[in-house]
Formats: sequence, C-alpha cells, structure tokens
Amino acid sequence: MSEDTTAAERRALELLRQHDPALSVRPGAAARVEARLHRPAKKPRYVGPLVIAAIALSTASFAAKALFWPAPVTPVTPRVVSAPVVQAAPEPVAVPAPRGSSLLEEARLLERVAQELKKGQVTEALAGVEAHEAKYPFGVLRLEALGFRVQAFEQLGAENVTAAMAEQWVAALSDLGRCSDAARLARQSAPAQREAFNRALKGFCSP
Amino acid sequence: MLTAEATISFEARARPTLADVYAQHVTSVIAWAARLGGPLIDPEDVAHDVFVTAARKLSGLAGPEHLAVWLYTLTRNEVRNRRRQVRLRKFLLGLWGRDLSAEDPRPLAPDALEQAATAALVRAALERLSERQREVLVLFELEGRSGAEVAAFVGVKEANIWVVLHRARAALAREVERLEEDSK
Repeated sequence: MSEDTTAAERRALELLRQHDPALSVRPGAAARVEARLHRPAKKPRYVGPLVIAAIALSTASFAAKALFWPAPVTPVTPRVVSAPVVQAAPEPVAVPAPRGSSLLEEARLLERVAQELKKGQVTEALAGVEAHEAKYPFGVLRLEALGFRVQAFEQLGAENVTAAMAEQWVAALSDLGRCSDAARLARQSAPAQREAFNRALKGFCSP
Repeated sequence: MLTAEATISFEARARPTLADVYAQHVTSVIAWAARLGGPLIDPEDVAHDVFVTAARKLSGLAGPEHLAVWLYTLTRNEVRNRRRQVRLRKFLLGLWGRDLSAEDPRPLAPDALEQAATAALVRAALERLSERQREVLVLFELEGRSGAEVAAFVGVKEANIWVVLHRARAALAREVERLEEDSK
C-alpha cells in the first residue's frame, strides 16, 4: 500500500508515528489503573444531587409557609414562675476514636517522615515516603508525601542523587505541577546525572 | 454451528479470568484510549472503566479468541461516550463564554517545547478525522495490523478498509499541512 501514498501523506504518517499519542501515556499507567480497580467502589453519584434537592425542597416549603400561611393565634397565658430546677449535668460520653482510619494512619506515617527530615535522616525519610505511597497510593495526603519526597531530595542536593532518584524527583515535581523547578534542577545537576534528569523530564514533563 | 470436536476443545480451554485479561491487554487498552481519545480524555480513566465493564460481562464472552476485538469494542464505546460528554461540556461552557482548553498548564522544559508543538499538531490533525478514519489509521499505521485484522476490529469488510485507509491518509496529510500553515 505504501507505493500509493504521496510525499505529503508519507510525511504526515511519519509525524504520526513519531508523535504517537500512546507515547504520551505516563509511565506506570497500568499499575495505577490496577490500583484503582482494587479500590472500593465510590458512592453512587445521585446521592449528592438528591440531598441537595431535599434540602432545597424543605427550605422552599418552609419559606412558603412563613410567607403565605397566617401564623396561628395563640392565647396569651400568664407565665408561671417556678423555682429553678437544677438538673444534673449529663455524663460526658466518650466518643470512640475511629480505629484504623487511613487518614490518621497516613498522618502518623508522614509525621515520622517530617521528624526524620528535621534530623537529617534523609534515607529513612525516603523509605517512609515509599512506605506511605505503597500503602496509600491514592491517599488523602499523597501530595504532602510528594512534598516530603521533594524536600528529601533537596536535602541530598541535585549533584548527589542517583539516576533512579532523579527520575523519582522529576516525577514527584511533575505531580506537584512544578515542571519548571524540575527543569531548573536538571540544569543544576552534575553532568553525570544530567542525562537521567533530561530523560525523566521528557517522560514526565512533556505532553 | 460448532462441531462436537470444536465444542469439546473450546470447553476444555479455560475461560480467562479478569486478572489474565488485565495482564495481557491493559497496555493495549491504554494505548487505544490514548490514540482514539484525543487530548481531553484521560486514557487511564477509560481503561479503568473498560475493565470494570469487562469484569461484568466477561462470563458472556463468546470465545477467548475474540478477546482483543471485544476489548477494543469496549474501549471504542467508552471513548465515544466520553467524546460526547466532552462535546456537551464544551457546548455548555461555550454558553458561559468559557473555553475547555486541552492545554497542560505545566510549563515545559525548553528542549521539549518544539516536540510538544509538533505532537499537539499531530493530535489536532488526528482529531479532525472522522472516527472511522482515525480507527483505521491507528490500527493499520500505528499498530501494524493486517487489513483482515483491522476489518475484524472495526467491524466492516476488508475491502472497505482499504478505501477508508486511503481517504484517512489523504485527510491526515491535508490537515497536517493546513495546521502547519495556520501556525506560521
């Protein structure tokens, strides 16, 4: 079939192959989809609108009553003043803390990471971030974990990171929407790491 | 009609589990979603929904040999639904005087800028083709499938595939040239 094509068509097809949209899929997509498939199903979407509709209806009916229905005439009765009755204060009921709450767990993990970073224990802090990401890939504090990862790499210094770390660093920065910072760090990195940085930049920061 | 022998051999084959289907085809499904979906559709979202549907309908699959075509059809339908939603959102946002832009707000590394511009141009050209033309180009030119395979995936006769392919190539070249002229 190729002999039937014109030069313009061949060029367009070459461009299409070079810029195949599938190449723009971020690395790890299959793992992310798999992780999502293991997550519990979300609540059905119609719950939210139903609640809003119920609130709107009750508010409207209340307003209609207040505006259009005459208030009932109540006979005025003299108030009987009686001695105040002192009631015993109710026993405070202890609210049990939610056990195994993922948010609390997440926060606990990341607090430890923050303390380790303060002490300068970068390797331990990175291990903590890894543990958090492994346990809660879609956690509420995912961005905070990424922030700690970036902070840890910053403490290491751009010239001291390995190629694998450079990729992780750029991935974390791109997830935080900080591709320009990633590009700046790539420029600042040592020549040995620069190639790894640039490769990661192409992977994570190009469309 | 299946012969007795064929029926036995078919039943002897283990019906694939979702895990098998996922492991074998997830990369293809994500690639199809990226190629057919355009810039406003997230391929990971599409793949997720395709496998959720696949999990529900896997027991009704006619034969494991049709698995790839079946998954492709699920992906195409999911992409089509999402394209419809995107059109609706564009229309509604248009009423409010807003634009649903596909631009990534993240700044690019300087060396990636030119590449990004060409990639965007190619995507825009692909977007201007008809759905059938896009499908045939993707399956034939990007995935390197044979005419018979493309016909099975798209669900038309093989002879028609060559006509669509011929027109799709011409249309792509035309759109690339037009977009390049516009960008000068």
